[in-house]
Amino acid sequence: MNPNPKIKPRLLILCLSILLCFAGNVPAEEPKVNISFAELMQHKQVYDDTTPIYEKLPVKDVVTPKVYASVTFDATASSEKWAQAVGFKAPDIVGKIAPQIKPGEYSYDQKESLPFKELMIPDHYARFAPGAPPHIGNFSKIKVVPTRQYYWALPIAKASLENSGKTQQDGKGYIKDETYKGGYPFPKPSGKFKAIQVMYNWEKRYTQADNYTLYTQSKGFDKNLNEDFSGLVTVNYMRLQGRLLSEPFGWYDDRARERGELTSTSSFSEAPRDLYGNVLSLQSYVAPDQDNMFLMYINGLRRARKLSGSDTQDPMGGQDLIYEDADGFNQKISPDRYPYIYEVVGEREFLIPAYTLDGATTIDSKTKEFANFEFERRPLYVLKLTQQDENFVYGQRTIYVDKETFIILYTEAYDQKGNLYRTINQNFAFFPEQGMFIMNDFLARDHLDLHSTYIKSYGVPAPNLTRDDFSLKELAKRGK
Amino acid sequence: MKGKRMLVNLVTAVALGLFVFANTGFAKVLDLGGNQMNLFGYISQGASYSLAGDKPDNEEGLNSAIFTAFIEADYYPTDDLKLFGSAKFTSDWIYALKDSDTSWIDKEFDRSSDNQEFDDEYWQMINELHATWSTGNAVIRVGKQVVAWGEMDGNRIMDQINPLDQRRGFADVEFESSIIPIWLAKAEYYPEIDSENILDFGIEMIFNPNADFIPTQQTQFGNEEGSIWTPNMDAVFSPYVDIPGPGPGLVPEMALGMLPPPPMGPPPALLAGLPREKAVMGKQWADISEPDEWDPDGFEYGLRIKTLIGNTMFTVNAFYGLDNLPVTKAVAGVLPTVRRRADGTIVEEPLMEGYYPRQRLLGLTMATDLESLRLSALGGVSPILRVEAVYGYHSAYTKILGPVQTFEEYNDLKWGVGLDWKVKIPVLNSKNSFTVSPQFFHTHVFGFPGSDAILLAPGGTGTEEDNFSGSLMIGTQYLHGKIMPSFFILQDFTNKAYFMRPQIVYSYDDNIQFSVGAVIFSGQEDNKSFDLFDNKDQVFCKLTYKFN
Repeated sequence: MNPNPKIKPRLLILCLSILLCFAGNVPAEEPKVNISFAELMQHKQVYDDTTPIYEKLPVKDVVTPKVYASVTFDATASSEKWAQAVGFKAPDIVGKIAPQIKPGEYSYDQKESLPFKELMIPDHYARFAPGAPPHIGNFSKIKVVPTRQYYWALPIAKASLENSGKTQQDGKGYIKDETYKGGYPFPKPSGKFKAIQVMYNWEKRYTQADNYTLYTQSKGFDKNLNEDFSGLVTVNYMRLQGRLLSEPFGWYDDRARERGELTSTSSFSEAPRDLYGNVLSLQSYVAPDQDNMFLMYINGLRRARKLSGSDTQDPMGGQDLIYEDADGFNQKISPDRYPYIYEVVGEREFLIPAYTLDGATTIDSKTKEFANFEFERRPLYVLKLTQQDENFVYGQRTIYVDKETFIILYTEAYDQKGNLYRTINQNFAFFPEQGMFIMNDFLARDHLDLHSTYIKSYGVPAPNLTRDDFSLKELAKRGK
Repeated sequence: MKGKRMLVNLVTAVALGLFVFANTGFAKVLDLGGNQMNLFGYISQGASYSLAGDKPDNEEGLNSAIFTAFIEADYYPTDDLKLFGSAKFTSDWIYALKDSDTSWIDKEFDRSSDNQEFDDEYWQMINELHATWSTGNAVIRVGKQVVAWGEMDGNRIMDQINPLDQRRGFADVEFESSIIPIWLAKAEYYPEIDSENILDFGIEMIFNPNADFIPTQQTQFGNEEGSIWTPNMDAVFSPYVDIPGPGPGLVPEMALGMLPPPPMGPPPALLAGLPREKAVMGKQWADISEPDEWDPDGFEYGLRIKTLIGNTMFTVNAFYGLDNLPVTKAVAGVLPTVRRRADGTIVEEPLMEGYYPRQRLLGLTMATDLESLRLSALGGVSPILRVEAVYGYHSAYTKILGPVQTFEEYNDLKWGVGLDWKVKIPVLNSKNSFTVSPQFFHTHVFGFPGSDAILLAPGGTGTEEDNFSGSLMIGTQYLHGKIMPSFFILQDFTNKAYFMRPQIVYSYDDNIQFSVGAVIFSGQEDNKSFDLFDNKDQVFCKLTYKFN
């Protein structure tokens, strides 16, 4: 050895001192979310479990009273203001197609005798059948419920109403983002840019509020309906532009304003083992030509790595969706980068599984049918998006958007040859007291490789999330 | 030995028990006293089969049958405290399978069982064991852990903290079996930054109290030490002449002139008629000094500053510690022992001495998007540029100048640059991109002693004044990631040698996985780089059952 003993005790003391300084500097923090997957799974399983999770484990029991108070609003005022913003209430404008189909329970053997074909999206009509390969998610029984009025929280409704008409579009329909002031920019889409206005409402969506934590359980199924994947991921989400529900309002901070930051998302994988300890941090931007920033702590390397922000067209983790499919449609609306021609090709009511109030939905473990889903007549826009770049993974997308909530409920994506590639169904939990929608059931199906991915979520408002929760520190803290 | 085999049976029974648990709804997310515990693991059985035929340094046919049982768990006593531990047991069944195989015994592979049949050291069975406490702006992790620095893959430039386990070579290398966690304290501090450009900033400090000095486990010379992965290197004094009758026996050809003349020594005519036989490097009787437990000589310190500026991640790294590999040299004035194995191979066994030298490293890394290379026709993905460089101050080398071997210190610079690029090749895969990751490496030794000298880096790697190498990794996936083919090649430009590994991994589901591949070695310059593994070409396969 070639020792240099004098320096070592000093360095050791220095290191220990710094460690002790850290240990002593413990700011008091309110717990962000007081629940674990273990607890959640005790309350609700994915298979054969019709427990109304949002009744058995209500949000107010999971967050602190202070947090709960901050995310709840006068439901009556919210609904009235939102009806004012969009100009209607859904129950008033549906019921005109196949009126003989009334609320009640129906079996698949009745679908020929009643005009369900006329009232349902073709894919849902085909799936109104006993469970059978190659995909999960059929319905042998459906429960039709009366159409409800849905609404967004009072601050969102107010902002949408007050800012209506302020968001400007250029000659091709693309918005000038500096004119967007918050809320839904086009609560009453109209004119020749109606289709793209609807899509901008989705891009500026308030699902998952300003700050949320989502607990997701995902399952993959092969063409024989055998489960071949099971994952657990916790997702933190924070909106940075147009914040209306949690302080700070508007832009999250100066940095967000200066850099045009749209959202921050982090996710922490807890299963399966191969993914356990992976932590992803994603920063998205308002500018349509600016790539997201991806950082990932990779369990197998024990390192935080920078990943390409433009890697958005490959399937995510063996699932039946690409990054651009997240939330049904996650692609930037851009005049230059994979631009679309946007068209409204339909505007009518459909009988569709759209929302749940109690989270009682489940999957039959034997047949892999969806069970306990409520079908509801919803007024929808049917949009056709035709891709202009032949190198994009999809050549066309058909998107079904709820006219009252601007939530995407169903999408079809076709490859460049016109083959149906993927379909996505989204079923949201609606919280009347919050005026908020959280993803509850997500089904993505690959029609070329014959595979299905199902994700069940439980969402909790988390207004005390900060930039820390999306930072290098989070990667270090959560990483394996 | 019998006791160990019983231990294997016991562990196998435990593994099978875990397997049964896994198939009967074994809970993997547990609620313990209102706090969550995750439990995972896997068992795997691998096998390798030689493509090189019967050689003195490997076996014809089956060469290894490695079994691994691995379990890991975390537990959150509080939101801010995480406990994590993992344990593994590894055994190579080949020793039992070839227990009475004459070739195996004659080549003395059976004698390597102490090193490779069972991984029964505590630090091999307890893999990671640490606590992570996050408080305020700090994250502190203490325990047996892995701290990985740097941006490059495969070739470690800045990543010098943890030792490696290289005993079982290059086939189907996995993280848990190749990186050795050691006892460390890591503290990270992330001050709040109010800046539009510096998006994130953190300081990381590492302290290794030398609770137990665990160096890199190298592939070792001699079949009785390194088993099937022993490097095939010519002996220093090869070739030898085996002189019959009583007398000197095996004598290096170069030393024949030093034998006494007849009648004391053998007649020259006899010597001229005897065959010259190649000898190989055998076990090195090494006296390597290492620090005792808690000995301040073994303390290590690391400091890392990491920041995110715009869309680019930078780190500055400093490390003051011990190399995980020793510098060694032959003990002056002591000739190696020479013997003939039962299979006829002559082995030369030198007496070596050495130590684990001090490392004084200062490095930096960078990773950023290259948006200008984003091409829609290739899938529209910007490649990530990764750069890493480290300057070593007074790095130790072994200098060999003729018969004289000495330890010397030189400053050196190691750097690498790489790309991670996902590109679409619809003809080969219409649904998934190909990940293409080329890397280039360069090492420069300042003040290189001249062309007559041979310089060996710690671990015995031959080093020129400038050393160039590169690697290429290509991979993709089909059928929702169920089938993942990949190809890796590492080219040593300086020594004109390469190593390649094509592999296919098939995941039946997220429990059952099967992999098959091959490792191929080639070198144009004898006794250098991958030429040492020229007889190690093999195919391998592995079946893994994971409980999630």
